Formats: sequence, structure tokens, C-alpha cells
Amino acid sequence: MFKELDPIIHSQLRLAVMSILAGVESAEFVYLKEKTNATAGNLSVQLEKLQQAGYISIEKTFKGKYPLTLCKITLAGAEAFKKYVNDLQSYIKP
Amino acid sequence: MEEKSITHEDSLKIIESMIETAKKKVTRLDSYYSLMWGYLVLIASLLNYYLLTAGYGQKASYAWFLMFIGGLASIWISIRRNKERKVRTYFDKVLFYLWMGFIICIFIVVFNGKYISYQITPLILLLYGIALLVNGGIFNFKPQIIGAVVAWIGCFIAFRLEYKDQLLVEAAVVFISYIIPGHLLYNMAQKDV
Repeated sequence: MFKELDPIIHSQLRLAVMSILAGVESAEFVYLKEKTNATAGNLSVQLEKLQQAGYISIEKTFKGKYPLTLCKITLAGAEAFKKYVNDLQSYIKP
Repeated sequence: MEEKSITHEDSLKIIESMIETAKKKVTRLDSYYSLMWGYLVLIASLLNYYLLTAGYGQKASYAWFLMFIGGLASIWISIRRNKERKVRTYFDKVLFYLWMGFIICIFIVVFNGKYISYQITPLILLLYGIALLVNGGIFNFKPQIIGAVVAWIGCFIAFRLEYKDQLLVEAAVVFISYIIPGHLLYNMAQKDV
């Protein structure tokens, strides 16, 4: 019996963001945008969804005069990502 | 990337490529610490040695005030780094705490010199060894791992020498363990942060 993949993570951009954040302590919005080739608008929307699910935390501060958005994976997010990868493995290697 | 349905194979590819992209990259700023501290400690050791030979006695250790310049420059480099860096990896965090702990240990050793018969240099070399081993291990950078072994050999030798001669061992160790790896790191590092 296949497990259903977490729909919050199972989207191209959200998965990309989760994969990056799973491996680092924190990443700036511009870094995520650069690495995923997403548009700022789309990335904002997807980050918002991940935040609402409690998978990431978003901190808005300033770096000098410029606004800075810092994203981090939460414990719940790390668990969900781990589960997603495990579930994915059950599809690939049944 | 647009919102569209993805297959399981796509998922794996995304995870793989994103994790690869977020790996710690060696940048030129990483080599600045090695080079700066390498040359400063080299100059301070040799200056201290020269001043002792020239008969300046205890005043000879003023050569180590050069370390304050290093401290200020390190703060400047780290501020610049933070400005340019858009991502903070766990390696960055480990390295920060490692070198912070190293500096604190050096202060403890220096301020308690009289209780350890002023065997400060060998103990500093011992600590260099740990810091270089971890740093080199994280970057998978062999010259620093070899540098750690050299620091420990230097520690062995220094324990058997007088303070003045220990300075020459320290100079040799920083040349092999800091300056040479620093230049290699500078050459292989990417310009971007």
C-alpha cells in the first residue's frame, strides 16, 4: 500500500525550498529565489503556505537599510520532510 | 519554477539538485583568516625571538600585541562576510563555535601562564591541532589536516625546549599549518560568497 505524499511538500517549488532549508541553518529570500529560479511573487506565496503549515519560520528584519527575509526549517518541517523522503522511497523501491 | 504536478522521479531530482546547491562552498574570505593569522603569528613569534636575543627581556613579549590587530581585522572580515552571505550552513555554525572556543582556550592558557610554568606555546600548538583538524575535516582539505599533525609534532618538540626556542617552533608550525594551506585555499576558492 503506497503512502500518500504530503501535499504541502509535494509541489515543485515548495519541495525545492524544503530541500534547501533541510540542509542549512538559515537562508535569505534572495538566496532561495536565486537557487530555485522562481519569481519573487510565486516564491512568497509558496513560503507563506509552508509557514502556515508550520514547516518553516520566516523572520523579517533589516540588513542595513534593506529589508531581509530569513527562512529556517522548523522541527515539524524537518520531520515532515523526512517523512516525505521516506514515503517517496516506498514508491521508488516498493 | 511554476506550480505544476510532479512525478516521484522529479521529486528525487529536485531534492538532489537543491541539496547539492546548498553545500558549503569555500570562498576567498575563508582563506583570509588563515593567511592573516598565519602571517601575524609568524611575525610576532620571530619578533619576540629577536627581541629576546637583543636583550629586551620581558618586554619582548609585547610583540604579541600584534594579535589585537588580528582580532580587529577578524571582526571586520566577519562583518563583511555576514553582509555578503545569503545562506548560513551548519558548517558555518560549527566553525564559528570551534574558533570561538579556541580563542577562549588561548586566553585561559595565557592568563594562567604562571600556574603552568609558562608552557604556553606548546599548549597553544596543541589547541591549534584540534582546531585545524576539525576545520580541515569539514572542508575535506588535506593541507589543514596535515597542518594539525604538524602542530602536534611541534607541541611535542616545544615541551622539550626553552621559551625562546619554542618561538621558532611556533613560527615553523604556523608557516606549514596556516600560511601554506591559506595560500592553497585562496587559489582554489571561488570569488563569490
